[in-house]
Amino acid sequence: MKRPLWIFTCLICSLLAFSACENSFKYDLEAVPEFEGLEAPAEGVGYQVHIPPFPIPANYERELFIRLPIGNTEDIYVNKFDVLCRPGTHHLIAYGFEDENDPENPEMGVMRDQNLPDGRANFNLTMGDGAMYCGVQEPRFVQEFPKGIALRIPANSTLDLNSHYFNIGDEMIFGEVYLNMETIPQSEVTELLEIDAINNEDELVLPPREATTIRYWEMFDRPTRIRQMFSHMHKRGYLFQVFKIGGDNHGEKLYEAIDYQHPPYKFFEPALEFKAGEGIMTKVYYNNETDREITFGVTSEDEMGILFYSEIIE
Amino acid sequence: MKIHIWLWGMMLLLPLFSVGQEAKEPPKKEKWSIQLSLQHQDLLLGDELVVGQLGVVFNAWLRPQYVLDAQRYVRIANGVYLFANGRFSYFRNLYFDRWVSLKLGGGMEFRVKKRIIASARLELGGSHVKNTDVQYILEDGVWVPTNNIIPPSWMPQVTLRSDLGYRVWNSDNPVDVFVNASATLINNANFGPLPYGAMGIGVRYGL
Repeated sequence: MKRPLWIFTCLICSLLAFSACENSFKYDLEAVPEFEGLEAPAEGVGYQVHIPPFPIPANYERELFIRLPIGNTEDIYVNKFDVLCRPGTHHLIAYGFEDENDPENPEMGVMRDQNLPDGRANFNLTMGDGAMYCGVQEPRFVQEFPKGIALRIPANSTLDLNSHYFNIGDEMIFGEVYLNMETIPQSEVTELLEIDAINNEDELVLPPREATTIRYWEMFDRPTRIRQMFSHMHKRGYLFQVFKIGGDNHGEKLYEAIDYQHPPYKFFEPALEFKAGEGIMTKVYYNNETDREITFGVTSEDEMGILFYSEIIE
Repeated sequence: MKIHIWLWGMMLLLPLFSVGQEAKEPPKKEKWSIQLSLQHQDLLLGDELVVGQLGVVFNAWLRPQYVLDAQRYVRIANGVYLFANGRFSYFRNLYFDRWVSLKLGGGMEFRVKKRIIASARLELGGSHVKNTDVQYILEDGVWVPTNNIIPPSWMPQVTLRSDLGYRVWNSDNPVDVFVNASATLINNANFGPLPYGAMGIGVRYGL
């Protein structure tokens, strides 16, 4: 009796050990197609951060973060963002870090995946917790502010680049990201912007097989001036509108996007002005054609309704 | 609810059906026993986390947990064997983390017709958890996997477990085989409490 028991135990152990092997994304560097990137700005003109080609396996969605240094030894004032991504990108966001010396910050140059290759969400992921400097939803994007307007990035900053790709094809594709930041001298800065956002996360529930409209609003508790707006939704969102709340122009439509992949980056000249107690409302139209309930989430099968806006720092 | 959740839940409740079955034969030399178990453990509702992927690149069919128990009977009353136990285990949670756990607990064991054994126990302890989600660094232009650089952390956990066994070797050093199920709540340092369920088999040797 004892012998079969031991044999059985050994078999089970072997089976478990064998099944517990992990795999990682493997590829041949020669399989990476040619791609003409962005030239880095000349010294004194700006800075470049670059994520070299990385694989996105067939029929897979890959969202990753990587912390990279900018290389600025002094505060810089970015007047122009110039972005180029290989095809297949869903978005690119550049986050800063609240405290560059926080030991909890991720290691420099290490690529961290938001989703695990077995299909699970990665609860271990941490991300840049500071200001958002740039958000891009197209492979090619140029944002140049009018003369004197800029975003400030503190000296010796690092960026947590968040790149999201999905590959609906049968073959592996490659992502790659170039982000150029052109600067102006501090003496030329007349207006500083800071990106903020509101989102409808708490309200966003899309019942299956239904069209749903989600309204969400926030009020400003101090006078606020807004220079720019851009929206973010996923493929089941088909119309994103923003309205003014309060004041003489209560109900005025301030912004509209009719395409989730190419939302306009609307610059306001003159800036939108809000008194304390006034606010903005987002109204997002979704069509859930699936048989499951969809809520707010990070993958392309989830939904979002985020309004990013650039506020003038007083 | 998925069928495996039902199976796991029923397994967990099985010892309750043994209550009242009087054990006629108290253990003779059985004071201590050791048990080796192999389990598959996973997040309860783990499938619900697979949302939004266009596909899964590498499936993880089994997430093995190796458990070594040391158990001591402390009291026999009304046919119920009360025991204390200590447990050391290693959990290889593929693509996510590794646990080395140490727990102490106690429970009740029931014997039915000498050879059928059912037990339930509660264990408290902690796990030294190392994150192992695959990360990549650039080497010669290629992204290659690297060890996760997040420092390991200590996470408290509580486990409710039941075993259903059969005595295959009846002697002064009896050998029992078990199927077992457990539910564990671990306080993940990054995410908060996460519920895990496990099912497996084990072999126990009486000392």
